[in-house]
Amino acid sequence: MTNYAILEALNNVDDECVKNAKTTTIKTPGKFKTSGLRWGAMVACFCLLLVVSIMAVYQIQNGADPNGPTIPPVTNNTSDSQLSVEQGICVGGKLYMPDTELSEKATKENIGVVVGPVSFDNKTTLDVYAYEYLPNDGKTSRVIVPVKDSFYVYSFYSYMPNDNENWIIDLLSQAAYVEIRDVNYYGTATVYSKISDNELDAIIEFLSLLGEPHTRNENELDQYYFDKFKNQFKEGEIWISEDGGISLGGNQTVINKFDDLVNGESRIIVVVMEDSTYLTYHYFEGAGVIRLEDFGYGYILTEEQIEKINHLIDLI
Amino acid sequence: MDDKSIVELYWQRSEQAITETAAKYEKYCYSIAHSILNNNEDAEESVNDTYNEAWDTIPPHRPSILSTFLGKITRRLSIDKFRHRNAAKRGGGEMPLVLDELQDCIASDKNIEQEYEKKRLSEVVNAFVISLPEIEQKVFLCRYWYMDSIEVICKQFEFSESKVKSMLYRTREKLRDMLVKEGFQ
Repeated sequence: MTNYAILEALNNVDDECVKNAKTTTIKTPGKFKTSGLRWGAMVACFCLLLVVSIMAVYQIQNGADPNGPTIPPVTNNTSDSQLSVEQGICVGGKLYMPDTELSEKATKENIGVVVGPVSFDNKTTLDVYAYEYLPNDGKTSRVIVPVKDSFYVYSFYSYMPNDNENWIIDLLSQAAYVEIRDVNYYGTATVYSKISDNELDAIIEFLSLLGEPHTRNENELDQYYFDKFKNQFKEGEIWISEDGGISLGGNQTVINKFDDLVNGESRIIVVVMEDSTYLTYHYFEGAGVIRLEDFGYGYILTEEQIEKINHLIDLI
Repeated sequence: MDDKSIVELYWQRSEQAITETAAKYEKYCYSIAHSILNNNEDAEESVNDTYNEAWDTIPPHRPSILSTFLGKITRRLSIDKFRHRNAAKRGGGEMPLVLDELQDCIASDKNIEQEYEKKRLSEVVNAFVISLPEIEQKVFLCRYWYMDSIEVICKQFEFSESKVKSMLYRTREKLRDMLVKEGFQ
């Protein structure tokens, strides 16, 4: 049997099926998929309420400016799109509730195409809107996420920094807006229109109240995840993300890790697939844990690098 | 003009049938042909051949879904043209990729050119497609029937690329298992 035979056999598929294939039912954003998630959302709401109350008391007691710092205006780099945060965002100790008008602007029409769900803690809660707002910087694909069950938002989708070592700094310096990310590696803060250090500190303070990992120091963050994972996995174990596995290429996948291949960075993973080769970053050095995520891939390797990887695979 | 009226024009042997078909379905057929052939001229030729074949086959046929009827003709003609052209394996378009991916489902290259086996294969594949959950079915058909690119599918379903690839991979695995179970080696 040839693959042509299957192609030809498909020609006799039921007419209705063929016709219906082109009529898509778009999923409703933000619907809860599991009862666990629903409970999680309720707990999140409760925590939010609790923290807001604490902060209100704190502000009253300390005579803080009742207006709090203002969110800086969207820079020229950005589109008119604003953040759609359904339950507010805390900046500088003040909780900003969503602005209806601005939220309405953050629609598919003016942000971009929904490119897929993003998963926090292996639960699909959000929809990712890709859009472009940084002109001519070669890193145009960003996302903005209307949050449904928390005040977290997520940016940075296929951001591909030029410098591996300083990619977070690179991101922070160029991002038009840094947003807070849910529990995740590098889960500190992200920006929407560049926020000040004071504001970022306030976010970090806020996160600390929530018990979230919070640091601007990459090494500290690595340490956090080292601590988090070291007892969870065995040395050398490959942790495959639950949301989709590692079927990145759709074909049989070979995974290998290698050290010191790019810029001496040892926390780099190579995902080699039959049809392509990608790099991804999620190796927690010292923890012996490799985290592979289905939606993330970075650089396409050079021929030279691929050759080196193949050599490493041969050795294994 | 509605499909029923267009089909009626074919039955009346009115050349207006071709005009109306082209007005309504040229883009649809062209998109299928172009996905397979990746060449404007060839795609246009396939679409024109589709009209001719529709003219030759209606009557006696009276298709219930005209779009799919035409699409199937376009698809078959385009695949034939592709084979005939025997483009370089990596010659571009979605066809080489689709063929590569379907290779996963094949246990060996032996056997089966006989009509009986083809028919049986069609039945098995059809049963397989019908058995798929709705979304998987649609994604699978978009890829392997319409030969849509992954990018196009992502946009249509608002899925990430990895999700689509992952879904297709699993579906191919299922198909492969079913084909093996049914004795297609």
